[in-house]
Parts: sequence; C-alpha cells; structure tokens
Amino acid sequence: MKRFILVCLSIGFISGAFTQCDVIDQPFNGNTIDTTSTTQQRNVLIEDFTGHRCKNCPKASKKIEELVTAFGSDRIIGLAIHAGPGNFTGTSTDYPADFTTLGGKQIQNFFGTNFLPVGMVNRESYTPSGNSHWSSYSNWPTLSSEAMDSTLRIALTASASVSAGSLNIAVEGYPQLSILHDLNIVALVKESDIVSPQLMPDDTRDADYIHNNVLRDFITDPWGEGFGTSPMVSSDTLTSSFNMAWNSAWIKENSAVVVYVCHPDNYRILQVIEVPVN
Amino acid sequence: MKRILLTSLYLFLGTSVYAQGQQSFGGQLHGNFQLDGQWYLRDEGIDPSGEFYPDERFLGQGYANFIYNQGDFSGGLRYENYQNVMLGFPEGYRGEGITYRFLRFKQDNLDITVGNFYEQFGSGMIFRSYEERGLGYDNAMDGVRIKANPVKGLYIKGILGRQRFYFEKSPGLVRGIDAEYNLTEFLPRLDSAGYRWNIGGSYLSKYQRSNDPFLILPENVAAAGVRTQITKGAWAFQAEYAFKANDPGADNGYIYKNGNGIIANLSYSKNGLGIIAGFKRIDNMSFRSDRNGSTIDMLVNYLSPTTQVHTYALPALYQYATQINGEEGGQVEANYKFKRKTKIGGKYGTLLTANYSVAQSIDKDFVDDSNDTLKVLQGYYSDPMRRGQIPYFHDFNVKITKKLNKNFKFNLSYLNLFYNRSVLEDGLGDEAILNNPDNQKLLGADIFIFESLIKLKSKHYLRTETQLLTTKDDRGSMAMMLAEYSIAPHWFFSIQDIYNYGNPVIDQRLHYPLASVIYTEGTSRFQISYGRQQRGIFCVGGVCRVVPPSNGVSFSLTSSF
Repeated sequence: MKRFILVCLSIGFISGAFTQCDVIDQPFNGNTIDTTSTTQQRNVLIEDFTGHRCKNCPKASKKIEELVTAFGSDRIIGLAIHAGPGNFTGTSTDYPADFTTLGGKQIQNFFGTNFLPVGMVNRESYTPSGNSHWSSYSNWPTLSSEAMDSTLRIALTASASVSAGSLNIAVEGYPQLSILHDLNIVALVKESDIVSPQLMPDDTRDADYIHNNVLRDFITDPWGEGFGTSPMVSSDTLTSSFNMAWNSAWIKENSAVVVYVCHPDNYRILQVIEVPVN
Repeated sequence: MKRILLTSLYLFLGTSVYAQGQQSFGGQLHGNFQLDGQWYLRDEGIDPSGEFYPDERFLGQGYANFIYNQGDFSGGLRYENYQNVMLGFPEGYRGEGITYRFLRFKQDNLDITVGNFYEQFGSGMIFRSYEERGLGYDNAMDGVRIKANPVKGLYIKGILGRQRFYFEKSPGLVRGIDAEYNLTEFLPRLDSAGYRWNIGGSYLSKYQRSNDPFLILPENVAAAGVRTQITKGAWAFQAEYAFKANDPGADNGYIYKNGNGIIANLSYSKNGLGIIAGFKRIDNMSFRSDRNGSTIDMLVNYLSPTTQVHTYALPALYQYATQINGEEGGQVEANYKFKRKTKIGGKYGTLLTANYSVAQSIDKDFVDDSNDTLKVLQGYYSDPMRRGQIPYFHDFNVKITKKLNKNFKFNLSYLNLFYNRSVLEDGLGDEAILNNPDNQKLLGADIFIFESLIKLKSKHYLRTETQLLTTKDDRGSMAMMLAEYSIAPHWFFSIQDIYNYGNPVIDQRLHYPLASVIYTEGTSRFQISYGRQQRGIFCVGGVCRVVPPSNGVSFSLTSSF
C-alpha cells in the first residue's frame, strides 16, 4: 500500500497536480489599444510570403489589415512577398500578373520554406537549423504584440521622393542605447491597391482582388548594406542615402518605401518604418 | 559516424560487411543506420517550369540509432543528418544533430525514462507520441515518463514534457496521466466465464502562453478519454470516447467549441471467417502543442483511420487522410478462407476478402459572425444524430488470394474509389464547400490489380503486378506493370512502369519508369534506383504528405548491429 501511494504521488506530481484547463466564456478581451504615443516605438515588419494562386493567402493578407486597423499603419508594416512554389506564384492565363521578384525569391530560399501562406515577424528567433522564425498568420497578433512591447534599440527617420526618374531615399538612425554589433540597412519599394486575380479560400477566382503591400523591388541589396559599426551609443547619428531608377509601371501614389535596420548575423529586424513616395 | 560512412563506402564498392550486436561494458549495444540520397535530373516532362528541381541537384539524409542495455538500465541516442532534406519530406528538417536521447531504468515497480520517449494513451485520441520515418513525422516527447504497476492488473503512466518540432521544441508543455485496469484480474468470475475485460482512462493538458491582443486564449487546454476492451471467444469489442475543452487554433479557425470523438470496433473470428466493423466520429479534435501549428507539426493526439491503407501503387495515389476538424465514417471487412480440398478452395484453400469503408463530413450548422450576438466564437453547432452532407471518401474492394500449386500463387483485386480532392488534396473546409458545392473536385475510379508470385527454382522468385486505374477525373486513367526478380538471400531486381495514358492533357500522357537493384548481406541492405516518380500523396495511418514529381538516381543504405 505504501508503494501504491508513493507511485500515485509521483505520477500525480508530474502530471495531475499541475494539470489545468482554462474554460473561456467570453473570448474577446475588449482591451483598448493605445495608439496615441508620439515617441517612436519598436515597429513590426510582417513579411507575408504569398502567391496569387494560393487560396489561403488572402486570409494572411486580411490578418495584416486587421493588425494595421488595430495598431496603426506606422506600427504594423506588411510586406507581401510573392515567392514560393510555381503552382502558387506562377503566371497563367487566369493569373497573368507576375508579382515575383528576384530579391523576394532570395529571401524565401534563404529562410527555407516552400509552403504558403507563411510569414516572419521582425525575423525573430532565426537559427540556421530551426523553424521558429516562421509563423502562421494566426500567430501574427501575438508575435506582433510581443515585438511592439520590446525595447526600441534604434529609431529611424526617412524620406523618399522621385525626381527626374530616380527614386531618392535619405535615412537617419538614432541609437537609443549602446549597440555592440554592426547594423545593416535595407530599403525597398512596395505597392498597394493593385487589382489582379487571386485564388480565394473557397477555391474561386476573384478577378478584381486588391493586392496590397506587394514587394516591387529592393533598393539596396536584399541583405542590406552597412549602416552602423559597433560600438554605437545613444548620442550617435547614422545616415545613409540610396537611389534607384523609378519604374513607371508603379503608381507613385500607391507606393511606399520601407526601410529597416537588422542584425547582420541573425537578420533580426530592430526597427522598420514606412514612408510615402513624394 | 566516420566508421559508418566507411562501412557504407565499403558496401557500395561491393564488399559486404556484417554488423552484429556489440558487447560493451557488460551490457549490449544495438543500433541501426540508414542513409538515403537522390541525384535529381531535370525533367521537363513531369516538371515543365523546374519548380521542383532542387538547386542542390543532390539531396541526402540519414540517421543512426544507438541503444545500450544493461539489466534494468538502458540509454540511447539518435543522430540525424539532412544535407539537405529530400523532396517530399518536411522542409523543417534542416541541418544535423542529436535529436533523440534518453536514459531509462526500472526499479521498485517503477519504469522511469528521462529525455526523449514515445508513448500512447489508449488508441491515441488524446495523446500519441510516435515516429513515422517515411513521412518525416516525429513528435517525440522530451521530458519525463513514469510507468508503474502498483497492484496486479493496474497500469499507470504519467508523462511531462515538450514535443519535438524538427530540430527545436514545441512552445507548449504537455502533461498527462493514463490508467488501465484489467478487470479480469479483479473479478475471477469473468476469467472463468472466458471474458477478458480492460477499462482505461486518460487525462492530459497542454500549456502554451498567450499574448494575443484581441482574444483571451486558453493557455491550459485539457482533454480526457475513457475506453474499454472486451473479448470473449471469437468476439472482441473495443471503444474509446474522448473530450477536449475549448482549444482555439489555426486548424479550427480560432473557434472556442469543445471537441469530442468516439471510435468503436467489433470483430468476430472463427472457423476461417473473420468480420470486423468499425465506426468513428470526431468533432473538432485537432490537438496540437502549438495552437498555430499546421500540417503534421506538433500533433498531440492521433486519430486512427477507419479506411483501408493500400500498398499497391495506383490506389495509393488516392489515400484517405483523417480530417481532424471533423469526420464520421465506418469500415466493414469480411474475409473467409475456403477450406482445402473443396470446390472453391482447391488444393491449398482460397482466401476471399471484401472491405467497404466510407468517410464524410459531420453535421455542421455554422454560426454567422453577424448573428453571433453572444460573441462566444463557437464556430458551428453539430448534432451527432444527423449525418453530414459532404462525402469525403469511399472504398469498396474485394480480393481473392489463391495458391494454385507449390510454385504459383496470385492475388486478384477490384477496387471502387470515391475521393473528394477538394477536401483531401486542397484542404477546403466544409463551410466553403457547402456554400459552393458545385465547385468540388471529385474523383471516381475503378481499379483492377493482378499480382502473382512464381517460384522459378530454388531461391529464385518472380513477382509481378498488373494494375489498371480507370477514371475520367484528375489525371485520368493509368496502367502499371511491375516485375521483381529475387535471388535469395542477396539479390533483388525490379522494373516497373506507370503509363498515364488517360491524362486529359495530351502532353502529360507520360510514362513513369523505375528500375531498382537491391543487394542484401546479413543485416545490411543497399538499394539503387533510377527513374521517374509522379506526384502523389504518401500516407501512413491516416497521416499524409504530398510527394512532388522527381526524376533521378536514388540510393539507400540500411544496416543494423
């Protein structure tokens, strides 16, 4: 009997005693989200790997819209990277637009996935043999919320304008604390409000689907250019400028330049901003 | 590892190497090793755009297990290597490392494992940790397991840990307890009456933190199950019922509905006649240790299939995969062995088998978001007494197995399949199908199979398969022929061709030839193959993965000691 009690206690200890169940009657938390702060906070880049022949991809796009509505377009920056298997991203008579880019394909290849939709939120938790940097769109609210709550290490300002057929970007960075590793900076162009067919979750084709946040091209190398050299302190000011030929097929009013600063070794995005093209 | 690689090279050069269990430090060391690789060739016929053609050209992967036993102590590890993972396997396998290691000892009626382990409660409806290497499926636990047999007839298991997620761990914790009691030990009258009666129960909870800005997500989600198994003479009955509390996640679209499931089987076997009938109904029973998991990642439970798993190549193209969000169905199989020296039985007897299985959606009354005034996110309501409206799958097949003489035997099979491609390949949900039923992609097929085995002379065997799949749906009709010649115990030669003669796209009416040579020496086996593989779905136990088309030379080396 003594042995029986001992066994039950042991097993109960590891499994039963701490085993819980949370029953939720009212799922909506009703919290109001404060979007009134005027000081720069850490923003979120959601790289949404997508395809116009991927029927679940509109769900991911919709999730970004929900987050932008809740937190503001300055805090949540979506980027639709059309890359992945050809049966999701390839062109055909029904899906004539080619949204793929060489840079997008490089990013997708490097981070290593072939299923869609899938995304990365600020490229957190990347390791060469791991998969934790990937997340499904259903996890983006949680990951975005956590990223926005984390410490801002560098603030950014940028301007972008088109002049004489050239897109010119100027960026300034302000470390908020000591940074003991180098920094890379990446700039790219994205375009929204593009009307083009999309396969929908009910397996139908929406000929008038509006594609948003579509990656058009990288202005810098997709892996970035040097922006800051370790060590950096909070009184430093970092500057960079870039330019590229403006593609006249892109509608300027619907386009924006996204600039982000990342760790050159683990690719973690420390800050991201989006500015309109003037 | 170096030694193993040298061994494989040695074998590759045509020299055999024996491997046996090793005596080490008074105990016994066992192990096994497998290395697979494929050199891919660009084939515009099966992959016009080259989307499946890997940049690496050559992909290889392998593993080695080492297990040491001494008395009541055992320990072991597994090393895995993906350079890079081969086409069709989950791409989450990237790199190399020790993915499984454990220590286990038995003492005072306790069986304790620390580190990695595989375990199962009942049929697995609330918990099953297992590995299916052919699928790339591995949800091994990493933690602590205690098994105990405190009183006669009572078996208790407790587990605590996290599941494997490729080379990482799941973000969720899994804790559970299972007890099974053999009533026959407690009630001798049952034993004397010829009954064997077991009852069991399980309770399990997972924990995953939540920081969702919009929803209050349950961080602790519990599931429980009860089961029984009774046998008497030729009869056997087993049933299991499971319940899962609210578990919003990516699979069910973040609804807060509880889940439940029931599986029951009744069988009879006597005098050459065997009958088994099974029933299953599951409702919202997706259970993962990461609520955002997908495909085959981090599944806590296992919902066994109630459809037949085919090993022949053409029916295997359209296998059924369990629909974890909800399905109901059943299976009836009967077999009868006609006795020797009867008119039908002939000299050696004749086995006749018939099987029918069906799976369909469960009844779902979806809640329109605009009418969800209580904001409880139940998703849908389901009446278990009403049938669902969407057919997923059915399979009717009959098979005759007969030995004509001591050198020749054959199988003759006919299958009639119905396969809902929208559900089983495209993953379309019930609501989308009910809203637009005409958009479903369905497949109906008739399949005929003839398999023969001929003993040509001592140790020389010829096995052949002739298969014909006729359909106007999907890729259309196909025919297949296979011949395997084996010279026991070392050599095996195989050649086969699948011809997709009925493909609606004329350019895709392709041949898929495949030739293989296998050499076996002791416990080591080397295989080299060349040919085309068409896209398909590879399933084991109701879990499936998509296999992309490929062409190339592949090899495989396995060895154990």
